[in-house]
Amino acid sequence: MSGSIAEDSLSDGFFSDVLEGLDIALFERICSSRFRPIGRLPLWFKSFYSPVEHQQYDLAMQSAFLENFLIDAEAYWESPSDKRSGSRLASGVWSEGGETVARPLEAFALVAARRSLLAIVDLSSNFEDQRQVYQRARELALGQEKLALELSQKQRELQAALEQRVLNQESLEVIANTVAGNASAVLICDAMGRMQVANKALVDIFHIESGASGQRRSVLERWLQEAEGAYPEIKRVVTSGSYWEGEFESQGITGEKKWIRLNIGPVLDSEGTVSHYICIANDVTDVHYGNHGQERFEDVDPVTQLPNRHSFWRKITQLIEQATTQHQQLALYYVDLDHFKRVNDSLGHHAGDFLLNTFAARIAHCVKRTDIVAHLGGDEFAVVAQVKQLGNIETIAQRLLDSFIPPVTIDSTDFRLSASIGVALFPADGLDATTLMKHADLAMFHAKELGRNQCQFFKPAIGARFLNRLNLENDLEAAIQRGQFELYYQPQICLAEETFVRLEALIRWRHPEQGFISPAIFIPLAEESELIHKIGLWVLNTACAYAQQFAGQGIKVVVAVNVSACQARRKDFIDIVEQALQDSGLPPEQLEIEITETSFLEQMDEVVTMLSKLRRMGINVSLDDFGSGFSSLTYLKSLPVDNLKLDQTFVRELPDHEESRAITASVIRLAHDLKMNVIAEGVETVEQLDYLRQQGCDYVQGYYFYRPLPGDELPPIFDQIMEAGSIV
Amino acid sequence: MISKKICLIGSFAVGKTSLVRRFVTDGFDEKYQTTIGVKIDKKEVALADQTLQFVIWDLEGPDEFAELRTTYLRGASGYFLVIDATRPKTLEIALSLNQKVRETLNSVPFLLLINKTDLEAERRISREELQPCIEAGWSVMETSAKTGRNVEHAFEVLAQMLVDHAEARSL
Ligand SMILES: Nc1nc2c(ncn2[C@@H]2O[C@H](COP(=O)(O)OP(=O)(O)O)[C@@H](O)[C@H]2O)c(=O)[nH]1
Ligand SMILES: [Mg+2]
Repeated sequence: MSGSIAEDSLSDGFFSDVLEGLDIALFERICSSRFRPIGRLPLWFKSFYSPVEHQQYDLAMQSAFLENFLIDAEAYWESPSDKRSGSRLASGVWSEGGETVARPLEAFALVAARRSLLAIVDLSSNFEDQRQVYQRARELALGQEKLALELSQKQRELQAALEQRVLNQESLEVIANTVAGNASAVLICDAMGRMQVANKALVDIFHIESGASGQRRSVLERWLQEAEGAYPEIKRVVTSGSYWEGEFESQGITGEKKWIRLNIGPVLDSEGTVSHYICIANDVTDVHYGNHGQERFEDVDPVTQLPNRHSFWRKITQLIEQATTQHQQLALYYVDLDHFKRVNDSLGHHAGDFLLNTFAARIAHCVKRTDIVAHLGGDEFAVVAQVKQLGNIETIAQRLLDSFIPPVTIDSTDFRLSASIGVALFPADGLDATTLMKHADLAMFHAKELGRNQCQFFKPAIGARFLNRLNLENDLEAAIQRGQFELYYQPQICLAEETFVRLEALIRWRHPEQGFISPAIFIPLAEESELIHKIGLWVLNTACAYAQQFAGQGIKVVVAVNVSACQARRKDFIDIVEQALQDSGLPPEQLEIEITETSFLEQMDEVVTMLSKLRRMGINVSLDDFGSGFSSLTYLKSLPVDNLKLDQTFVRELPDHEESRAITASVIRLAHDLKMNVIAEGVETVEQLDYLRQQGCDYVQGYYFYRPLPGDELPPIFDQIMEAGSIV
Repeated sequence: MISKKICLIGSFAVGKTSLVRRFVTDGFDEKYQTTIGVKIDKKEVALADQTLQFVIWDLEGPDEFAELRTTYLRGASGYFLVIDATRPKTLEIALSLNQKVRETLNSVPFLLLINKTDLEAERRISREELQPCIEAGWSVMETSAKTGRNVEHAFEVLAQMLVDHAEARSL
């Protein structure tokens, strides 16, 4: 009943009335290639298309666009997915006709009263408005894209220029003057993050009080914390001396949110430690919001075609959400190629990209399709795998490591590269993406420190070191008063006859929250302030007292104390040493001072005079880390030292590495010519020991014999220590 | 005459419409007129031993306003992936678009066009940066819709690629 009403009311006559004045071309489909117009066709339509016969149109033949659309339309008419009345399938806009007469059209497939209908609509009337809007928006986006590009280039150039000036030892005041009026915010900090230079733009944009130079919670520290949300590895990257750049959201002191584009360039001194951070920043809030909509197109890394950092971030966040509700476990692998920079620099960019490509493909093969593999940038990759069985975590790690084994052939030469991998587990090592990434990154860095080409799982102790580096200074001050330092002693074994015990005193810091902190971390920090002198004094006094306590038992203990370059340059250093000897009663010949080559870098004459005085007092002097730095064998003879400590980097490569063999042999020979003893550090294997003994090395120190031990564990083994060298 | 559908794909304002205009009518307009929707042109290309009719689909540069409709790609025998030599971002976008296109079109031939190479001083995409694409076996060509550099040639090369591809498949 209702059907017949519809049938009637949908007669052509009805349509004609409705369509009158609507400027729509309406057709009914007769068969797959024929369409019959309903009502009168608009003029514009007739100017584009002509009927084939009896008022029938073959639209597919007349328009390539419609030909394509009709394929979808046929499927739709066959079974419209949305059966509700008023549903339709739209073709999208196309323009028909030549350049001058072109009109924007859109076609719709619809079903009414069981008839398959096609409507073609001319959009000209409101099209120009819409086009204007799009045009304007796209022009804006273009402008902003260009601005962002210029800005990042400008920042990079400025940062490089300033770095050069700092390296040239220009005074910070002069540098501050030159950047005072710069439009980019410029911040130069010391290694502790304390503000040294802050220009007007920095003060203006980020509302920093200019007078607060050197303030505790520095701008840099705040930025690092804010950026960490999106770049968990940022602290580790910059504190270990690498360049960083990126954009993140920052909340100023006033609480106002801004997007900032930031470059951080650590400046390294001759010892390779960070002396300054040069930061260039700009407020890119406008640009950022302008470009927001484009982000979804930037999901792929151009080199490897893997998802990039941006899209990885989204994916891992999703995966974590899912894992949280479904109680799944995830493993995040942070993969960093070893020495990739070296390859890239020596072979060139192309070869580098080729390697990245190859490894990207291999990494992707290590996991299931549903797992995530991403190229985070540079030589860093990330893999997130769902953990079904615990054993799988290590299987995948091993598979990843193994995937680097087969060499890559470039220009018929085989290249071998390894990778260091850090693993963090969800939920054990972190409940959100940021924490997981940070922890995986730290574990990766730990793997690098342990000699690369391996996989390390995150442990809280690994993390502690980097995270609070900038806060450590405060804690350092307290450490002396609270007795958190300890001395460990590592025996130096004489390879000839010896009637006394030689020990090197090594400082340890037992941090209340962070556990043991390596002197490699806190000594450089202490050196940047007066604290190094307090620490140095404590070490000297403690070591002397320790060695002297065995005098009563008739045991002679010689103790070597490390003295940093800035301690050695102090005018009152001799007095301090004398005082320590006096207080403890230790005979001068039982004290040995170890200094590094860098002590001679500045004020060489004064240092030489000072050391000569010490030797005249009967104290021994050793030159530490010999061979690791600038030292040349030729100037050695002018240095007032008794012993040379051969750096462990050579020792580690013995006896297989030819160059290290040659260096070791000639150092020993020369030292003996100059009446110096040689102490080899880091001896770990019997092969190393044999080679050193064969070359006539005097003392060896290393895990092969003893690790550094707490003071109270040594007395029981004094006899063993004295005999160790002759027994083996 | 064999007729072949090809598409131009790339971020907005890289010069897709300009390339087609240069090819079809040998003209150029400095003024930017954003394309909305699809514009289809036809032109013949004479190869050594045959003539092809190109049905050229100029697709609106996808961005936040317009998605790439994969139904527009249907039946394409090849395509140009177009980037703007002065905008590094357009390379990223092109690579991402290309993934989508590959999913739809499998392995039809395509040519990466580095357009606006007349703007030498503003160039921000170096030849080195394109090396991975070349190493991946892509055909890459530098063009300028403004000066006409390589535009005709690009269409000829793509035409030849289509012919070779069709021959290889029929073997
Ligand atoms: N200098 C220069 N400008 C170009 C070139 N090709 C296109 N343009 C300009 O770039 C803008 C965008 O071009 P258009 O063809 O509309 O880009 P589409 O959005 O990809 O179709 C216009 O202002 C053109 O004049 C070229 O090769 N060189
Ligand atoms: Mg266009």
